[in-house]
Amino acid sequence: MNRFSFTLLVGILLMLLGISGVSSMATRAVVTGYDASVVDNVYSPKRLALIGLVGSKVANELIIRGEDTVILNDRLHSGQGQQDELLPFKVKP
Amino acid sequence: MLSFLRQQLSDFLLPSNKTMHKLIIMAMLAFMTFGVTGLGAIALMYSLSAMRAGRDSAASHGISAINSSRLGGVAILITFLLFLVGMVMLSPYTPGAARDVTFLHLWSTVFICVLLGMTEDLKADLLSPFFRLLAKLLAFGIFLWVTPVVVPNAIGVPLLDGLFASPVLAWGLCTLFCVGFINAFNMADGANGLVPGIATVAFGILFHEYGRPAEGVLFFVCLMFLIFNVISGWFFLGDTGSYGLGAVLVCYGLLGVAEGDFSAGFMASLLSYPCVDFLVSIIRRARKGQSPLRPDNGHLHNRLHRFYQPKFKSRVIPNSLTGLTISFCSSGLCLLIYLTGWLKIESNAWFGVFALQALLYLVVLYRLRKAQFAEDHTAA
Repeated sequence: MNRFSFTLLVGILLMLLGISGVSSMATRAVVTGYDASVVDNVYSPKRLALIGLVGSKVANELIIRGEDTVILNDRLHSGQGQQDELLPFKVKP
Repeated sequence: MLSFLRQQLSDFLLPSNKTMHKLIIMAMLAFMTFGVTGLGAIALMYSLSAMRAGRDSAASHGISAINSSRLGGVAILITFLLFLVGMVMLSPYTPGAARDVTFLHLWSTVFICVLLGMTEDLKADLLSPFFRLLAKLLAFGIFLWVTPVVVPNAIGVPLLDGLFASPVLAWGLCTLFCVGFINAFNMADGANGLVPGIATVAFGILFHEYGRPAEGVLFFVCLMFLIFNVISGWFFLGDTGSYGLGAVLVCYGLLGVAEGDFSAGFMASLLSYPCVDFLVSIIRRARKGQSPLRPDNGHLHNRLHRFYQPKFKSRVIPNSLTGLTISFCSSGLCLLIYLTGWLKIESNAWFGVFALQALLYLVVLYRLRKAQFAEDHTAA
């Protein structure tokens, strides 16, 4: 593997890491009912490292608008079929 | 033995000092704006910029003074598709093209434009200009015919609104406009950061208005490309990028105007540089008796670059400064007014802003042309 294939592979993996992070954030936001733990947590260090300052704002906008538009499917919107073991955090009662 | 291994590892991983400095600056900016995801996009663009395919010599361009790759558009396409596939695979996201027939037609048209551009980037002059023009006319003609919701029935200009009242005339005018705009976007792609800067601003505003993931991803990709392009100058947008981004912008613009989300004046102001530069270039060539689509070095970006060039030792800085100055003074002005809320985006007063931008273009072009003509005269 030469230098450029290696860089390409690293680039693809880093981007997939970011997408996966945004996806899990969106899922978490839906399950918590769009509370402040995800939606208002724009400047948390972990989130900044993953998607940066601008990316955090963009992801926030996507998550908020995804509430009634395009990001998540109906199953997650309605909360039906969501199992506790899939949740990466503790859901507030 | 140890030093030999270290040397091998160093050759494998580390490029030259100058390249390393550029990479560090790009990585810092990408990390600040989009975190490790941005770093990934920069790494991907860096690896693609080093490919042998699609390389252009410095002599083949009016402005660029270094050998670069014209596969910038291909890099944008790969990054965009990677993001899209990642979103579909890793999240319950369904792309607009799968949900809505209008978006399916829209993205199919964009795909045809991207294919035409990519063919040209991978093998120059494989398709004749006439064939490309005909293919674009057909693609947009069919798209606008089968998706009439994209065709506005009024644009806020009294004289033209009379023509737009007839659906067939409106369809014909919109088809011509779309093809003309894509060519204008391609023609304006002459300096680092010029078209990527305009596209970044445009997708940023569109994302802010609609919040659709596609615009968010395009904003991310264009911003990363802008950082890469301005700092390194290793990439041109190429025909893939200018055709593809131009097609997305013109389709979204028409759709927004047709649905009344923003005025035609707002889109004209946002994309003022390609439109004004295209019209002025055609008039200039027609006055000289040349073909309207024949490339020359009389664009504002060529003249501004000639103005900046003697002031810097670097070959990349004058090029990037030219692109950034123009994109900031055209689309940047529009962004400023949009963010401050001085004008509503549905307002026809944006036509006034467009007129101001066109006037600024003409004044600067006239002054630079006069000064450079005097320089040439003295040198001769």
